[in-house]
Amino acid sequence: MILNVCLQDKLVVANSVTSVHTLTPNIGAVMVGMIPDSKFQVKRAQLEAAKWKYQNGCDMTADQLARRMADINQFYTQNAEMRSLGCAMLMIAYDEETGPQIYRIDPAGYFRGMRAVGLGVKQQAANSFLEKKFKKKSDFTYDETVQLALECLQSALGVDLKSGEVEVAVVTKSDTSFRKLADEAVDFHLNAIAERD
Amino acid sequence: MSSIGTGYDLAAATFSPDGRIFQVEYAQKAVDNSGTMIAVRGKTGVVTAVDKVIASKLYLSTTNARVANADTHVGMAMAGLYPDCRSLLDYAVGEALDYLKEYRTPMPTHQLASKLAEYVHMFTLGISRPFGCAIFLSSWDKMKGAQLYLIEPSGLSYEYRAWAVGKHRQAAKTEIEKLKLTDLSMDELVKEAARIIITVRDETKDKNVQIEMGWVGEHTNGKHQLIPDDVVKAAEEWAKAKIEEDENMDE
Repeated sequence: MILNVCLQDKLVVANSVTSVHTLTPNIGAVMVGMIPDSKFQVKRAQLEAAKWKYQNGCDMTADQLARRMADINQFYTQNAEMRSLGCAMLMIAYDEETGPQIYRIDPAGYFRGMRAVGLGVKQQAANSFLEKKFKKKSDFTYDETVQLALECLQSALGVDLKSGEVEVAVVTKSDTSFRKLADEAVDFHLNAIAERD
Repeated sequence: MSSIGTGYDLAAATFSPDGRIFQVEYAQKAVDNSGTMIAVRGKTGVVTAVDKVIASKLYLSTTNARVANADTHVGMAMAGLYPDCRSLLDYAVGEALDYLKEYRTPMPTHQLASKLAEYVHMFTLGISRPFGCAIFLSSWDKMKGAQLYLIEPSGLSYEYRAWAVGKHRQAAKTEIEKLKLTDLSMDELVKEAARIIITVRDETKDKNVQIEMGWVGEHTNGKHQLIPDDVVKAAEEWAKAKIEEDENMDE
C-alpha cells in the first residue's frame, strides 16, 4: 500500500506529516481526503478495535473493523447531528485464515474487499492500470507486489517517484505486523522498476 | 479573493458541491485578518512573537495577553478571535493538568498538540461554529530539543521549524526563510523575530500595535515565559536601527 505525499513547505518538519496509520499491530490504514477528518476516523477505528479486543478477548479482524467503520459512516449520512467525514480509508491486513486483505471504506458507508485498488485524484488511471495487470496474473511475489504498487502510482501520476515522496507500508505472511518501509527499501524497489524498463 | 458560498456556507455541517466546508474557510479568514504572529525554532529554544493590536490607550499593556502558558514548560501564542483563543487556552491548560495529575509527568508537547487539534476539529463537524483562531505551541526539553506546533481552525496540526500566520504572513515567511535558524542563539532569535514583525508591518494600516513575545529554551531551563519588557524593548530598538541601516545601505 503506498501513498504519494504532497511536498509541504520546507519550514514544516517532514516526518510529522503522514497519512499512514496503524490501527492495530496487524491492521494498517492509509487515509485519503481531509486531514483532520482522517485523523478523527483513524482514532475512532483504533478505539473500535481496542474496544473489541477488550470485550471479546480476541483481535478484531480487518473485515470486522471495516464493516464497523462503514456502519459508522452510514450513520453520519442518515443522522443530522454530524456531517459525513471528508475522507476515505484503505485498510490492509494479513489474516491467518483468509490471507491478505484490502478494504476500501468510503464516506457513503460503502465498503468492499479488493484485490487491488487506487484512491484519490488519479484513482481512475490507477484502477485501470491495476485491472490490466490483474487480468494477466494475480499471484505476485512480495517484491512484485511492492513494485506493482509503485509502478501503478508512477503511471497514474505521470511522474517518476523518489523515495522521499512516497510512503510505503506492508503486511506479509511471514510478518503480519503492519510496518512502513524505510527509504532504502523503497529506493531498492524503485531502482528495480527503472532497471526493468 | 471572495468566493461566495451561496447556501453551502450556512453551517459547518454542510459540504459544498466541490468538497469544501466554507465555514472552516471563513474561520481561517478570521485568523488571516488578525495581527501577524510568528514563531521560530532555533538550536536551543523557540521564540514566538505576536503583533498585538491595542484597541484603546486606556488599556494596561499587559491586558489581553496573546502569549500565555499552557503548562510550565509549554507556551501558547494565539492569533485570531481573542475570546476563541482564551477558550482554547483554558482547554489546553485543563488537558495538560489532567495529564500531569494522571501520569505524574509533564505532558509531551506533541500529545498536547494532538489533543488541541482533535478538539478544534470537533467544532468543524457542524455541532457548533469552528474556532476562529490559530495556536502555536512551543517547548524545549533536553530529550527532544525545541518543538513548535501550529493548530489551525480546520483542526490541522503540523510540526514546524518556523512559521507565520495573520495579516502579513507571506512577507513574514519570506523573511524567515532568509534566516539560518539553526545558527542563531536565543538572543539573536529574539532580535530577528522583532525585526521581522516590524519589517512586515504596514505603517498606514497597522497603528496602535505592540509586540508581545514569549520564549522557552535551554536558557530558561525548559520553562516557557513571556520575554521581559526590557529585552523586548531592546530587541525592538535594535530592529529599528537595523532596518534604518539597511535602508541607508540601499540608498
